[in-house]
Amino acid sequence: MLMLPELLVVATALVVLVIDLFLSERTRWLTGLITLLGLLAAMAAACTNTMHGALLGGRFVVDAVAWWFDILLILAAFVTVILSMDVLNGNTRVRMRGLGARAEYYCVLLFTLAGMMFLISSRDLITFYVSLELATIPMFALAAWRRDDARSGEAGLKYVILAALSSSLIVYGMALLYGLTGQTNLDAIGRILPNHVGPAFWFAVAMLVAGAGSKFTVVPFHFWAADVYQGAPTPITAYLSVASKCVGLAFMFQVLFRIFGGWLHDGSLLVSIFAATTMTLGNTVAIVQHNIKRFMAFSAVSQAGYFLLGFLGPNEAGVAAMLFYMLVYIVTNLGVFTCIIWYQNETGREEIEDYRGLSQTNPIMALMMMVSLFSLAGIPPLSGFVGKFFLFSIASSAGYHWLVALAAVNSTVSLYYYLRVIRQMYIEPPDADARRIPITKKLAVTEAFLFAGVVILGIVPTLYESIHADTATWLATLLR
Amino acid sequence: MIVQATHTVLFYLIAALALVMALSVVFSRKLLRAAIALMGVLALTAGLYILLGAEFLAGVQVLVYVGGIVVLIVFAIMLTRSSDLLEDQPTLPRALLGAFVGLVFLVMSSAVFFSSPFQADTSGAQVTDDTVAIGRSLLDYGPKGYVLPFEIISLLLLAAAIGGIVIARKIPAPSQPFTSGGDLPGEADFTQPRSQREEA
Amino acid sequence: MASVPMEHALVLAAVLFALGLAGLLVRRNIIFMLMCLEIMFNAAGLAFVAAGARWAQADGQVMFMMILTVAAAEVAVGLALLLGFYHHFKTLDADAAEGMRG
Repeated sequence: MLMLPELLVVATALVVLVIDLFLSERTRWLTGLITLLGLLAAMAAACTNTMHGALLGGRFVVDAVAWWFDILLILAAFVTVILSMDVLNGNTRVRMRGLGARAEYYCVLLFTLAGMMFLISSRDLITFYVSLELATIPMFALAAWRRDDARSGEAGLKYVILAALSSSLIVYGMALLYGLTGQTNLDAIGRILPNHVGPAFWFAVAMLVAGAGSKFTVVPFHFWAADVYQGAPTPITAYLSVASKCVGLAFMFQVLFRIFGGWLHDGSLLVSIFAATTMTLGNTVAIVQHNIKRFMAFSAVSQAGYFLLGFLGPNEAGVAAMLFYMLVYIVTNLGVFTCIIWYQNETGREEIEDYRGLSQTNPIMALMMMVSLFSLAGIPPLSGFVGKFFLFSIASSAGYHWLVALAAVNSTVSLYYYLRVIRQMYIEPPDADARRIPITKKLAVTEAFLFAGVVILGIVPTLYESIHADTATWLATLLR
Repeated sequence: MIVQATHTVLFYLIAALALVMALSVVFSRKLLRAAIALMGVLALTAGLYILLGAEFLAGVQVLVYVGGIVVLIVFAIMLTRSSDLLEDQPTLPRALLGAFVGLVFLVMSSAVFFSSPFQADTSGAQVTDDTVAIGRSLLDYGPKGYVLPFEIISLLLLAAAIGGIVIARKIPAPSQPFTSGGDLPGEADFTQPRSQREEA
Repeated sequence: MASVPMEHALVLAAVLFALGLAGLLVRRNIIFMLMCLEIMFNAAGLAFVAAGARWAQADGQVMFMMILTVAAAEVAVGLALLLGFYHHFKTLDADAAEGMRG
């Protein structure tokens, strides 16, 4: 059953919605557990499925890349659900009002996950567009889920308008592509397009690149990210920063490799300029941030710049490096966000200065947060360094030495601002009345696992090798 | 021949009217007037679809756009009591930015259409006015069908409805006890945040 | 129908799209912004129908129906958010939202 993971996710969403009707307030926490079980089943179904193939006449295709994306997305959603549970169950020290409707929350979250999984498996414009919207539109509601907080609603509203703008650009570009080629199949469009290079083609490229850039927070299309990340409920910020980024990468894969695959090499200068501006601007703006969620938003923008290096290699050379770095990024970023969510649940604070003295009150959490931040900055031997190393080597072997140098400088700059948080935790003295902050078992276990992931992915390279072996012949299967 | 000429004249007439309506959506200072103009744009587009031979699409356009979306927008205008509100004139930088981006887009796209292979092969081109073909391709699960996006979009509508309902509900009053269910008063276990429960 | 060259329908779509885009950038009232977005989606749908007509396929019309549905879902969520915004700020001016600055 090729579509089993997707079907399990959708089924879980519906089951959660229905079961909620029969639960009392006291037992309603079960919905979270059911969601987790459903995601586990989907993960198991994905892992045990070794077949690649097409369904529905080629509308839905599972190949190595889609398989890896499914695994990454389910992982991201699984951790996000765990991180959401304390907040939604009211199991926080600070009273958080207005964040209710657990079953609906999990249900909508699972629907976005299904949309993301369909997106990477889609092979025609229509399925592609519709699954992109399924991954985006419910996210507006999730970003605005905290109804007591005006900033949450504001984030949702900004997200609606800017995402709708980008999706209208995308759909207009798709109309041009369809008008040019008369095909809806992405691979067929990619094959036919070389006969239609002209103004209309370049116009369609511009539209789709602007749309894809907006989904992947590439500068100068990143402007929605900061406000939405800051205003959204923190678990949703975590989800946006990993799953939404992952689906942005999937979108770029579909557009750049399938539709514009023939020009990717010619357009690599453009990609390198986007990469350079994205990481530089993201880093520069992150330095002056005070709110930790806004800070993580700009950190995420600059990370998108590193990913773009992977598109510079010849054909699919960068695919494995990008997928591996996405895995590393998901684990590391969620590690940081577990800390942020825990701190916010227990103290209600989200400014960087609020973290002062954390190493003395909670040394273990501070250590894990520090290691995750170092991994984001790319300090060896942590996983972030390994992931960046593969990406840099792709760009370097493609001859973009200036870009690799710039990326290295940017990594150093990013170390500076990640150190700002670490300085607050380790050097600044704690408040006089600061006590040890308790942590729930869920969050502690999650953080421990993510921490182990951050360390192990750096030392054991077998995973990269298996991703590489899986995806090495990915493009060869495209009928070119 | 006469029929064709009438079609052509009607097409340009409707197109011109739609543009005027769209301009008044963009420039009108009154919300309700803009909403009516928007309804005009959408209804005129439906007229275009009839001219292009796609009667079914015209019907859908009227039902969903004119009958659904515009009515929703009018509801929003009424609920926020902003029908009498006069929108301020946009600041100059804003107006310049909007005009600039719009013009650049317009010039580029029209240049594109008149210099690209769209022009070739228009002879004999005809909208399939066959509603059966649309229905079949929506439900066909073979290589020519789109049953997958059809199912996905139903999920999208469900998710949007659920999300919309949750965020549009009233916020519980500050005096009301914490409940994860939203508006319903919770049972004893959830009436206080954890800190107070621990102290108690 | 052959009497109406397809690229004229496409140009009409482009002009409508450009108008919507300009309006989205100029307007400050959120309802106006949503209406401009509707014009843009409508234009994109028109472009798809015209392109489908050029190839004499039903695919363009199928995509049109999808765009229509997506636009409806988007505006439904957008208006729900708008009501919340109005509840908090008592205005629909997008510039009133100054809650977050960095």
